[in-house]
Amino acid sequence: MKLEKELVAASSVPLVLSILSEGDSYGYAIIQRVKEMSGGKIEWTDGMLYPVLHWLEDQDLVRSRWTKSEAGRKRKYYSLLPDGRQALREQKEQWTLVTSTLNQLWRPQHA
Amino acid sequence: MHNLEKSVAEWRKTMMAAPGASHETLDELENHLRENVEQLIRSGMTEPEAFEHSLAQLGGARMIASEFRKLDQSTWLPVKLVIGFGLMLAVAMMIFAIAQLDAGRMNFLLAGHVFAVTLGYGTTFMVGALGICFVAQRCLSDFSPFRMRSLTRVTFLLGCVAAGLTAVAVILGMVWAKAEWGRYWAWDKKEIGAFAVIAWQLCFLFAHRLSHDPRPPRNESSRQHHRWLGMVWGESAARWTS
Repeated sequence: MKLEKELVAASSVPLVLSILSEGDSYGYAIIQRVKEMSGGKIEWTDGMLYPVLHWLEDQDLVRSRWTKSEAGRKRKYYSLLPDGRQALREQKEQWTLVTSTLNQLWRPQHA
Repeated sequence: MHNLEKSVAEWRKTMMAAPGASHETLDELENHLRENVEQLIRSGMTEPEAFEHSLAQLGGARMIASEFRKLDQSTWLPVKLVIGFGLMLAVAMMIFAIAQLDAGRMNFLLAGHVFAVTLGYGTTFMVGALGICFVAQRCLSDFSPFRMRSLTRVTFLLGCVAAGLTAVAVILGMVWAKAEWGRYWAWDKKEIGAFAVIAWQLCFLFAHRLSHDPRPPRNESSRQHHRWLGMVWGESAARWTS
């Protein structure tokens, strides 16, 4: 099963915020984490993640910093800011509302 | 023999041609590309295969550029208009101040005072104009949380600029008054007005911070009330100063 493009786009912000709520991370690791958590079913075009991250940074929801990895490579790490936590809470409420509504509608008696 | 460095350099060249691609963004994308290539090589691919596969996963320059372009469209139109008007006002006042200096009609202190006070009051008026647009827009449709956050940030920034410019204008005016009239402050009408405007601007900034507490609100109505308070304060300030 492949997710629709629109759904992938809409879920990118809550996914990224949720992953960053676990701890600081960088682009490649975020994509790997999404793949791992979705069992490989959510596949982003990798380049699409960076505009999202930059937008979140522009909105003061996350902050970034360059650090060097053990291999000596520069990595741009992102961390969640207090406004980002608040945005995540709002996103959770909205997505929970949508999923609970759909779950109720799709119970066997409604099918 | 495949040369990864050469391929990456060629890819960077292609990406540079895409509008809006900064060096920092390219560094970040290149880092991603290299990590993916390394991972795929570890999983058994050859270097050329891994590079091609990683490129496909990353997406083309045009697609990435178009995603970045979408970031520029997130600014609310009234904010763009207000910022554009502010810049035009700044340029016009700069030209006016230079002309007055050249003609000898004003000294540096007075020209600086006129420049700063016009921009300070003008910026306060613009925050108020945004407040009016905000209320008008809310009558038609609600704002997304992200747009609300962006608007909150812009109005706070403009509020700080307005308060800062007005404060600078008042200080320049005081120094000029001391040189010309032998006193800093005499509570005349204009001075009382300037004092009241600064007090009003500081109250606006305080109300704004109150409405932008990142801690979870006790309830939704209190949050809405705080936001409303901040916006209405800005609107009232603009009406008052105009």
